[in-house]
Amino acid sequence: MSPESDKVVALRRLLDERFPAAHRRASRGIPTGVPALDQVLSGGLHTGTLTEFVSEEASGGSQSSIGSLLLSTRLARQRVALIDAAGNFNLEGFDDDGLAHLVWVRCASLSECWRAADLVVRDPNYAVVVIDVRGWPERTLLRTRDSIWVRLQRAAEQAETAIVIQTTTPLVPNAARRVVFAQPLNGEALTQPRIALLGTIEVELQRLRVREGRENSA
Amino acid sequence: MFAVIQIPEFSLCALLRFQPMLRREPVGVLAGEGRRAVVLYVSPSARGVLPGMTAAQALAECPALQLVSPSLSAEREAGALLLAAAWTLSPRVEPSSSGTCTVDLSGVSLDGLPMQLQALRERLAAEDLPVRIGIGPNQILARYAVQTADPECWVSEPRAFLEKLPISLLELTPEEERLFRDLGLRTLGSITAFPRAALANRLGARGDELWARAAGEGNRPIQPAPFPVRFQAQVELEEPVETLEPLLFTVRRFCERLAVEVGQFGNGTARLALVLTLDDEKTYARQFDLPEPTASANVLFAVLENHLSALQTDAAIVALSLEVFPTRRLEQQEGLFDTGLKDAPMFYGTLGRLAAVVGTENVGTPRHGDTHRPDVIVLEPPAPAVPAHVLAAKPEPHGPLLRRLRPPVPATVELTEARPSFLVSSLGEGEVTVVRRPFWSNGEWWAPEPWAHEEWDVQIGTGLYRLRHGPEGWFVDGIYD
Repeated sequence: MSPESDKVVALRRLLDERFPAAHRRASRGIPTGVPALDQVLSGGLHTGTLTEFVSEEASGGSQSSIGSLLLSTRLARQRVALIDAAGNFNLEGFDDDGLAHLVWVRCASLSECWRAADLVVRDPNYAVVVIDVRGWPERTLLRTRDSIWVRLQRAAEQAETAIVIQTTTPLVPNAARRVVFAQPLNGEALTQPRIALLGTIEVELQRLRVREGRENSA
Repeated sequence: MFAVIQIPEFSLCALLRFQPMLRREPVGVLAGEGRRAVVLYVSPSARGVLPGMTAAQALAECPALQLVSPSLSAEREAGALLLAAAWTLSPRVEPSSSGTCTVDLSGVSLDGLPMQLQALRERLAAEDLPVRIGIGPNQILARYAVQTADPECWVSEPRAFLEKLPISLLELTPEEERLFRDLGLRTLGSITAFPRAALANRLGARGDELWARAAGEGNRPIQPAPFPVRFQAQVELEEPVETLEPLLFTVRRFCERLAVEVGQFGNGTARLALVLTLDDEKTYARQFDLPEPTASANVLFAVLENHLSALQTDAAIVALSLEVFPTRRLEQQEGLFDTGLKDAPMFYGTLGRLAAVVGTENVGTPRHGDTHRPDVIVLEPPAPAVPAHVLAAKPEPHGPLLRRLRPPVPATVELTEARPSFLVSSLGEGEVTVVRRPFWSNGEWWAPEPWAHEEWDVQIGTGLYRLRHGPEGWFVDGIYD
């Protein structure tokens, strides 16, 4: 390769590093397996962006949605990281093989959670990073610095990772998509087959921030 | 063809490489002991100080001068790095003296040699070891060339090259030097202009030898250094180390040298062994298995850095040893359906950093424990590749997933006809609607801590919960979500 070509390649690399959003690759959709969720997200989770799952109801179905996401990523053999701020993840409902693609990070505090998330989202080996901060009081969550979200967003863009943040209240100011699990499951859900149950989960797209920078609010 | 590679001011370079804080100071390296010690090398910032001065003279010229003794371990590391780099040119390398080696370039293509030499210089410069290289048809000419190299000198016409070289290159005794000066011989060219037989008559065999050396003649077989059998670096620290930074600095230097050594044979390493000797005469030893063989100093260093960042020892560290075990590097083509790691070193590096943040016991791929006791989880190191999903025959799952509360939330439960009817807990309170009858479970009755409890799935308001009742009382075990 000639020296001129080397310089052009080096310049492109430098520009890519400085301005990652300028030549972002097309976002891929990672289906969650929840019909309502995939519909409002136009095919599933989008790589390179932050998606916020807001579970205002204790039993809105967001954990089951994450379970469905784990199943669909397992079938596709995509690696998933779960940063569990309160250590609430439960293995019931999964067999060992169904979690072979999962890296579970149990955190003892929110600061640990953000530090762990900052490391994981920069690793291109993960297709999806789920950050579950439910279990922490809203007052504590709302004190999260904006710089954390900006760092997560920038890292997600560079690593082409889909990031899901599970919260109990709208929290992420720069989320590309915010989905609210507004409808609580009823008692009959406990005896329903899981597949049928996923079909009953209702979600509402509260925010859609598209790539070109336009912002729509629903 | 031969090449002589030399690290100028070797002792000083090797020392500054391991003690970078001295780079800003005027430094002089002393040779000898006591009052007879003289300055061997000085850094450029030591103004007025010249090699050969005594310590007192040097300090008089430059009061801020830091006088240090040569560091044998630093020189050993720098010498090993030089040798490893020289082996990238040819397998026949003779370490001539401190910081110098001679390379037999027989059979090496001269077309690609300039680029190889440039790569070698850049590689060593990156390790803070600037080198100069002389290339000539024989060892003597290459050795003369390296003295005038800046940074490279090729001898293509020996006669013209030797013409103006000073006679000091012949390493004369003081008497011989005086004699040549009296004879008016100041350059090698003037010696070879002198009849060889006349010089031999005057100085005997020594005269003949000097004439031959001045003419660039003579070629003795070189004694190639054997290839290393073990790839090991070790140092006894001059002062016990209690903080991470100086330790990491030394580790970084070791990784750079060992990576060059294992890499030069086309190998990598998949295992590292670190031994720290502590001030209380105990040792700390640890082996690291890498996901795939590598010859990258950065990868090796990242593994050690992650571990050392979280390591706390009972006493200061006085010695450090690092050994790498070479193995064949595999070049694999990615399979069409391969879902292995995109960047294996980064994956394991990230896991190491995560372990440093949350603890080793809190990172991994979860598996059910070998027991029926609820919520027993084992975290295992993640597999390098996600295996294909095994479709096992199993009952269809029902109901939403449970978010388990750890620890479970104590609750006060009011019973009506032996069924929960009202619940009070820190999560809330309210009328209880029983959704499912209790499930009883128990086990490990043979163990010191048997377990037995009943579980109720209930609805309180719009939330679905699992209650647990056992000898310790009532608890909210989790939330169905």
